[in-house]
Amino acid sequence: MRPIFQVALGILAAIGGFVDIGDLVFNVAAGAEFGFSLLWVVVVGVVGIIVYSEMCGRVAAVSKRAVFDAVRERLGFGVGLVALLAAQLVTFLTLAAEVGGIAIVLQLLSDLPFLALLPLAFLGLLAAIWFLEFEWIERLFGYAGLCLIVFVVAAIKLEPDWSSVAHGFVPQIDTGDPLVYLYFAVGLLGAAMTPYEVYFYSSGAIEEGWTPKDLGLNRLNTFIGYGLGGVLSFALMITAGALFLPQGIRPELIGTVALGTEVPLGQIGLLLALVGILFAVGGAAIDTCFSFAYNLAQFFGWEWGKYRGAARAPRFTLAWLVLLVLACGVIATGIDPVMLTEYAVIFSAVALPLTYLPILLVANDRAYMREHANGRLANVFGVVYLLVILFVALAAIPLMLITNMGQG
Amino acid sequence: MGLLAALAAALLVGGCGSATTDRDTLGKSADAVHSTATEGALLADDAAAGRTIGTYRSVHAAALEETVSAEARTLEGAQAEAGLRADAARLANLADDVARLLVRLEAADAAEAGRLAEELRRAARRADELGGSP
Repeated sequence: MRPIFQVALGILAAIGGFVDIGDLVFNVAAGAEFGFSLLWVVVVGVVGIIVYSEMCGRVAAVSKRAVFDAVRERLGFGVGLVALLAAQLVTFLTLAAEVGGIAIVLQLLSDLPFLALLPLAFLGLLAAIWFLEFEWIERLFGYAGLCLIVFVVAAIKLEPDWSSVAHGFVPQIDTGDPLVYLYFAVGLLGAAMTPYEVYFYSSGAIEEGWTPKDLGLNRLNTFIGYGLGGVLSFALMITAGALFLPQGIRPELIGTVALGTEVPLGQIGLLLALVGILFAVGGAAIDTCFSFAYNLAQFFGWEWGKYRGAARAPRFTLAWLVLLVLACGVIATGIDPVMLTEYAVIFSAVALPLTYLPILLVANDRAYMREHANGRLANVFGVVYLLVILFVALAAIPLMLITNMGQG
Repeated sequence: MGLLAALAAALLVGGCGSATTDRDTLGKSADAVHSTATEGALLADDAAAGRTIGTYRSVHAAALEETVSAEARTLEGAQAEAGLRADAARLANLADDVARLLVRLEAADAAEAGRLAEELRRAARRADELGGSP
C-alpha cells in the first residue's frame, strides 16, 4: 500500500490542478465546440507539466528550494515582485472560482440556496486545511477526486467514432474559425500548465521532506499523477465531443459537465461525477490557498509550511486564511464562477514564463543541483516548452479580446 | 493586467448588451436558445426514465432557465435590424417559452418530464428555423 500512498502528492496535484474547475470548463467547452480536434493540445500540456513538475520536485528535493525561492533569487527583487504579483492575482482568481465551484456542486447535490452553501464550503475547506495533516489532505482529495474516472467510462459508453478520436491527436487547424480554435488551444495549455500546480508541487515536496533519495518517487508522481490528469482531460473532451457537439449544446454551466455522465450512465454516473468534481475542485481550492501562502512566504523569507503549524508559521497561516475569506467574499458578490475561471485560465497563461524560467535556470545550476542538474533531454524539453509558453503568454489576452472569450 | 481585465470586461459587456440585432447576432441567440432547450430535453429524458437525481434535476433546470431568460431579456432589449424584427420577437418569445418549460421541469413527475422533453425538442428545432440554421 505504501507506494500507492506515496504518489498521493502527484495525484492531488493532478486531480486538484490538472482537472480543476479550469480544466473541467475548458475541456468540455473545447469538446463541445471542436469535437476531438483539440486532443493533441492536452498531450502537449501534459508533457509540459510533467517536464516542469519533475524539474520542480527535483530542485526541491536536492536544493530544498521551492519555486518562489528560485524566483526571488534568479529574477531579483523587482522582476521577482512582478512575478509574485502576477502569480498571486491568478492564484486568487482561481481560488475564488474553485470556491464558487464547490458551492455549485453542493447545491446540485442538496438543492439548498447557493449563498447558504458558500459558508459551508468555506468551513469545509478551513476544517480540512486546519485539522488534516498534509498527507491526509493529499489522500482524501486526491483519491476521492478519482471518482472523475467515471468520465472515462462515460466516454467509452457514448461510443465515439474512435478513428476521429485518434485523428484528434494530430495537430490540425481545419475548423471554421481558426482564431477561436487557437483561443481554446491556448486556454487548454494555460489550464494544463497553470502555475499554481508547480508552486504547490514543489512546496509540497519540501513539506514532505523529500531528499535526493526521493527522486524516483518524484518521477513516479509526475508521470502517474499528470498522466492520469491527462487521461481525465481526454475523457472530458471526448464526452463533450460525442454528446454535446452533435446536438448543438454549448456548455456554460458546471451542471452541464456532470450531464455528460448522466446521459450514458444514469444516476450512479451522475453521483460519481458530482462527488469527483467536488473533491477535485476542493483539492484545487486547497492547492491554490496553500500556493498563495507558499509564494508569499518564500518570496519574503517567512517561516512557512503546514507541518510547522500556525504558531511556528503565523504569517503563512494568516496569508491562506485571509485569502480564503476574500475568495468567499468575492463569490458572495454574485460573480459567475465559470466566467471567473475563464479569466483565471487566460491570465495564468500570461504568468507562465515568469514561473517556469527560474525553475529551468535553477535546475541547470550545478552549484545547487550537483549531479542532479538537468541533463540534455530535460533541457531540450525545458527550452522547447519555454518557447511554447512564451507564445501562449503573448497570444492569450489578444485572443481573448478578439474572439470575445471564444464566443466568436 | 488589471487594466486588461477591465478592458476585456468592458468589451464583453459591450458585446452582450449590443444595441442592435443583426443576422449574425440573431443566429448566435438562436444557437443559445437551441443549446439550452436541447440540454433541457436531455435532462427531461433522464427525469422521465428515472435516471437522474432530484436535487440535480431541480437545480440544473433552474440554472438553464436563468440562462435562457437572460437570452430572452437581451433579445427583448435590443433593437433588431429592419427585416429581422419579427424573427427577433419570435425568438424572444420562444426563449421565454423554453424558460417556462424548464421551470415546470424543476418539479415534474416522470410522465410530465417526458412531455416536456418533446416540447423542448420542438422549441430547439424552432430556434434553428428562426436563426436560419439548416
